[in-house]
Parts: sequence; structure tokens; C-alpha cells
Amino acid sequence: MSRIIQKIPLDRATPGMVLAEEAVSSSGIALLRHGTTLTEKHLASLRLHEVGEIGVFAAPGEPDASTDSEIRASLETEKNHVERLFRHARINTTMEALYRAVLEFRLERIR
Amino acid sequence: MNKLELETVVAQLGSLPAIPDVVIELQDIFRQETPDIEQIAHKIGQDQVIVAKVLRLANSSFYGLQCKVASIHDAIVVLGLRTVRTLVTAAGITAHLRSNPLLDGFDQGIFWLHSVGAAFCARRLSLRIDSNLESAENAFITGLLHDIGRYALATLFPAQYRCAIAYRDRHDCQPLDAEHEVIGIDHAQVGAALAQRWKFTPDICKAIALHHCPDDSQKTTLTDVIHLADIMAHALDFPSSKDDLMPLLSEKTWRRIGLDWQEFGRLLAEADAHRHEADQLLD
Repeated sequence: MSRIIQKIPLDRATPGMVLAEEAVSSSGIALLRHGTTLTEKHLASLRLHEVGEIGVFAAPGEPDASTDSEIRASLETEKNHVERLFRHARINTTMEALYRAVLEFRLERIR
Repeated sequence: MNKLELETVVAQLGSLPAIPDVVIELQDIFRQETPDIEQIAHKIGQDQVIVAKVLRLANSSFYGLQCKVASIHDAIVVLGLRTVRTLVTAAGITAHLRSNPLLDGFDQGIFWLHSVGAAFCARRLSLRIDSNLESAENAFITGLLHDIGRYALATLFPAQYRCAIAYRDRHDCQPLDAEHEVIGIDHAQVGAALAQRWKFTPDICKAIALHHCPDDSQKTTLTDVIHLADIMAHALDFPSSKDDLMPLLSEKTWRRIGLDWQEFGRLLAEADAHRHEADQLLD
């Protein structure tokens, strides 16, 4: 089964979510193993260790609205980044084609 | 500030940090008709920093070996002398030149990441054009060295180089144009002179000299490969910097290489899949 991994801030984590990677404290200590199903007790412990973000599996069949908008935001950022890289460069048809090819590759990499 | 003459810079190249003897000797040994593998393995084995790096790279996914190699001798047998020469050269240059402390205003992290990124891109691109392994290894080394003139200028003429960087930042122009304007010579010329001093082959020196302005030619050359590999490295964000500027792609080179844009996109993805090897080389 291939499942989407999401990085979420700890305050959006809820009991029942499954860790897609180990949870690590702000000082780099591994606290919980990959595959752990989170309980309220786990969450309390993660808060105590000032964990910022955790990686969890997205619940199947439940597309997360905020994730969609997060992806849209990353795509927008990436497009700005590529436009900046080509800021003086789109001066002929070859360079315009190069710009489009690079943009397409970079956006595809995020999707 | 007075502009520099190329001869002035070339006369100073000897005071750069040395690259390991084994790297220079290997360029010679390789030209012999029957290279002695035992002798080469022994020579490489005297530099443990190089040995460690070479073995780590040889065992990385870039070369896709079925089993691990444990010694330089094994690496030569399994990967071939050419590939090991490339790895020794890359390991020697990155390990020893990077230990150069310095350099106000010259970010070595960014410099080496771009160089190594271009090296991996050049190898991929070369193999895509024809499957000749020797060309691919040459492309890797040339990609690694294509901007070495920047390092030389920043080390030997830091005041001038700082002015060129300031000029670039002020005008947001290509670094090459800033070098012409402020220093009077450019990193491509200096890099080619340095590569010659280090006894790299004439085609490598020429590709370094012309990597921003490939010349006319009937068929695809190493210069074309390096010109496009440099662009690929920028496209892949080697280095990641908000001031980075995409260099201009030569239409001559693009026509000679004969890729279409979809193939180019796939090539970028292939090169991107090996990002972590770039980090390994710089570890």
C-alpha cells in the first residue's frame, strides 16, 4: 500500500494518526518509532519534548483541504523561484523554451 | 582598481593550494599504453582521505554495483580504471582545495556544490549523447573543474574578486560580465590555464575556456556538454541562492546536442535523483 506522507505541526496531530517517520525532539533525540499509532499520552510526551513537526500518513480516502492549499502554495513559491532564476534570461525563443522546460520539471517534482 | 592581465594571473597559479600529487600523476599514468593496476592502487592508497571518499562513492547508488567494493584494487577491477581515475580526481580536488581557509565574500559551499552538481549533470548528459564511458568520465571531471578559475581568482586576487562580486550584486548581471568589467579577464580563461598547469587534456582545457561561449563545430563537443551541464546545474538549484542567474543557452550547442525539451526534462529528473551523491562527495 502506498500512502502519502504529510509533515504536520505537532498542534495539528490527533490521536489515531500513524507516524510515517520517527518523531524527533528539538535536540535530535528519537522519541517514537515509525509506525506508531499516536495516543493522547504520546502527544503529551511530544509536546513536553518540544517537537515541532511530525511526519504522518495521510488518512486514505480523505483528501485534506489544507494540504491541497499547501501544495498550491508550494507550486506558487516554486514558480516565483524559477521566474527569479530566469529574470534576465528570457530573451529569445530558445531561452523561453528552456524556461518552460525547467518550470515544468520543477513543478512536477513538487506534485 | 587596475585590471589584470591574464599573464599576471597565470604567473601566480603556482601559489594556489596544491592538489595531491596522485591526481596529477594519474593523468600521466593513464596515458601509458599498459597502465600497471597494482602500482596505481598502491599510489592511490597512500592518501587515505582519497581512498575513503573513492570507496564511498564507488559504493553509492550512482554506479549501481551489485556488491560492495572494499579496496581501491577491487574498485579498479569492478568499475574500471577510467572511473576510478575520475573518482580519485574528484575526491582529491574537493578534499584538498576545500581545506583552503579564506575567502571573504566567496562562498566555497555554494561554489563546490555547483561544481559537483555540474559534474554529475555532465556525466549524465554525456552518456545520453553517446554511451562512450571515457567521454562520460571526461565530462564529469570537466564539469567539476569548469568554474575553477573563480576559485583561483578569489584566492589569488581577493580584492579584485570582491569588487567583481560587488559589481555583480549592484548590477544584477552575469558574473562573467562583472569579471570582464572589473577584473578584465574571466574565470573561464583562468580556469583553462589552471587545468593546463594541472596537466588535464587539451579538450578539457578548451571546454573550460569556452563553457560560456561554445565555438563553431560540426559535431557535439565536450564544450557543448559542459555548457549545457552548467545550465542543468542551475536548473536543479545547484547552488540554491536567490541571486542565482540562469546563464544563456547557446543555440548552436542546443542544435548540436539535438535533444527535445521533453528529453531534457527527463534528463533533469535523472540527474536530480543523484543529488545525495553530490553531498557525499563534499562530505
